[in-house]
Amino acid sequence: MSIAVRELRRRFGQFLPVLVAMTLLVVLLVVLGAFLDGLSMSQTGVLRAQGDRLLVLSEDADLAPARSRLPDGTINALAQVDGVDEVGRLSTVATTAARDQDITDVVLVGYDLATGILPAPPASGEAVVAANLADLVDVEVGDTLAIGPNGQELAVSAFVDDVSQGSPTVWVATADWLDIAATVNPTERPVPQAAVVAGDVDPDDLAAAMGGLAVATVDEVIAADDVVTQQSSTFQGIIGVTFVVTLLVVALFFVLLTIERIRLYAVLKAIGARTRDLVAGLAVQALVIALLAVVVGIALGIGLTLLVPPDLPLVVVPARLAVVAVATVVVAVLGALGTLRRILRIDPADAIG
Amino acid sequence: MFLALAEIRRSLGRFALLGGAIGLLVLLLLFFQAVAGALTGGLTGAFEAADADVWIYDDAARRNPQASVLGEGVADEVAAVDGVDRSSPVTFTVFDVDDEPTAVVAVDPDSPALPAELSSGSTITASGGAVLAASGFVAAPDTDDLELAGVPINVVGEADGATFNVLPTLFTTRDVVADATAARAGAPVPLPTSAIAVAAADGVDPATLAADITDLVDGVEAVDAATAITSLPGAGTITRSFSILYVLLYLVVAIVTAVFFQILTVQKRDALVLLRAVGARRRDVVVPVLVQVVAVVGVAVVVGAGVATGLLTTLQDVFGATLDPTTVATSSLAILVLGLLAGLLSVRRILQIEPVEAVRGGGLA
Repeated sequence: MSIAVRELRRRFGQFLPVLVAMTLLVVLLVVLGAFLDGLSMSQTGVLRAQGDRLLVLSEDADLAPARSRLPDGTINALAQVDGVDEVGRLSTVATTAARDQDITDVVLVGYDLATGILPAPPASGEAVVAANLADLVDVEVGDTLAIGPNGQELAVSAFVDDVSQGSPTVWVATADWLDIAATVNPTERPVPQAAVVAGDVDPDDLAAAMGGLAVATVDEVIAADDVVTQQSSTFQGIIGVTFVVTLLVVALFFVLLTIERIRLYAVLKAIGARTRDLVAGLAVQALVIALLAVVVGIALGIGLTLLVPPDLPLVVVPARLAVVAVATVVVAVLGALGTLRRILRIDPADAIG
Repeated sequence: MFLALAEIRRSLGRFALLGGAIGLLVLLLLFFQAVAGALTGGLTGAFEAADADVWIYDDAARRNPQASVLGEGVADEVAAVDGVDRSSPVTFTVFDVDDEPTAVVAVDPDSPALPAELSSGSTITASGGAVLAASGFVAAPDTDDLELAGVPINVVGEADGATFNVLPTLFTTRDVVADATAARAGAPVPLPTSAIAVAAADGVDPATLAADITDLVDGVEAVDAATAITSLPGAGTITRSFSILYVLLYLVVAIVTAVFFQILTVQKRDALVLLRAVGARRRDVVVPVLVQVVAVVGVAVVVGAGVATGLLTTLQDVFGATLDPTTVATSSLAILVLGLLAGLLSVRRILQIEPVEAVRGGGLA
């Protein structure tokens, strides 16, 4: 074991190529993970902002809020159900926001209820704005944004984090949303799309009490989004294949290293070294290389995500980094152990020719 | 050549590991490209397939057809600009068709916004006619008894790939969409104009015409078709996001190949010194390395591309993505060239070998 560590220190250059290759693979894994989390989070911010509340949608919407249209009277009916403490409307429409010469795509959200993330709906003519909009348009609290084709002016009252839905979001009171949505999509009479329900009420009981409506948790609505789930499974598959590539690269390197040292290992075996000592030495070397690659790769990966333009959906999540780090180390050690068969076959007699 | 192939045969495991790693990287690269192509195609297909040379939007819409609403009279002003051959108002909206959200493009018959080429049937010539578009990611609804908010639609043609916003897309006449909109709203609603599609007269440069229209018509932004496509929401983001991944994958391929052949060269150094000492020319020891690079990377590319094609064909219903032969050829060539460039590091090391080292012990270890 100590020989392996000392060899690493004294002949570090020999291990540099595999360190570089593994570091690049870790950078790739960090960026892939950032895309996976960024795509998912950037499309579900409006829903996640509702916390543990229930969402009520029209039954024909297949749990897609944008397709849902609540029948008139739904909000009052929901408020009468036992266990319901609060009911609010939640609606979205894609449009644009302009500030001086800067114009950007936004999703205008109408809402009634404050949440753990969102403040109470702003006064008419004001808007709560997603913080990432400030990266795209030069806007501060008190500034005015022109929303939609008619340039409806809204004063920014506050910023909130992590509430994107494909584009940055602009949150207004439902009454303002209904007015602006009518100008954004003149072909359709704007109606609230979903109801948000707070209280101690079972989703099934609520659905039974409200015939013709679908009731679901935020997680269930997110899981019903085919785009989010398909993106997630695609990127997870790609990340899995990247780990296999890492395994092959490490295995390849240590096979080459073992071939180079066959005579040396034969000598070591001849003077009493056990196979497991030799394998443990290789595993330690793989472990150290992997740890270095993880540290450098994660630092470079995070640096890369900071360099990309803010409109690209990249979010570094610590839990994802931990998974990448642990899996890379495990895969590297497994790759190094791929040489076990070769080491087992080494005959101590080879040491004397 | 003989030496190169003999070495691969005798050390098949090592070369297979390298080939496996590169093959998987090729698989990933082609998979990314197919998925990115399908995603952008699903977003922009309607614009790519259209006959229009110039698209005109409300100047506050940021070239986003869904955010653009043009005022009355703009279409007439545009039609009067020199260099405009044909122009037609277009409305982009969404309806549920067969219980699935469907992009609806309301056009005049013979509008430049209609797909220039159809995969079957004919284009719209009369009210009520429709062209239906689907693409890899996007399944088309059944064309029998198709209705738009209760208004019957007669699908007369199909245009594969001409989708908008990753939705099945129905191009139909404006009067039908106006009726459907009124039916959905429960009251007559004027059909707004989202954009104007323009076909330029012969010999007129679309970019110049777009600039002229922007100058001459108040409150609009005109762009040539290529700019309109790249400006569609999401299209640029997808392209740039995947570009980062392509660059990383190409880098990994180059470094893995370089590392492998570098180590192999170092391990063979003594044998190479001996070969040089007994009269082998430099090219005799360099060519086998290049042959090995081409053989290993070439086989890996072929296998990776084959597996990617098979995988995408098998999972057509899941990913809806297919591989474009040009993309496969370009990417494969790029990886082969990168492999050769990476192999040049080993070649450089080999060229530094002096035959005289054999008598200093360099070839006798």
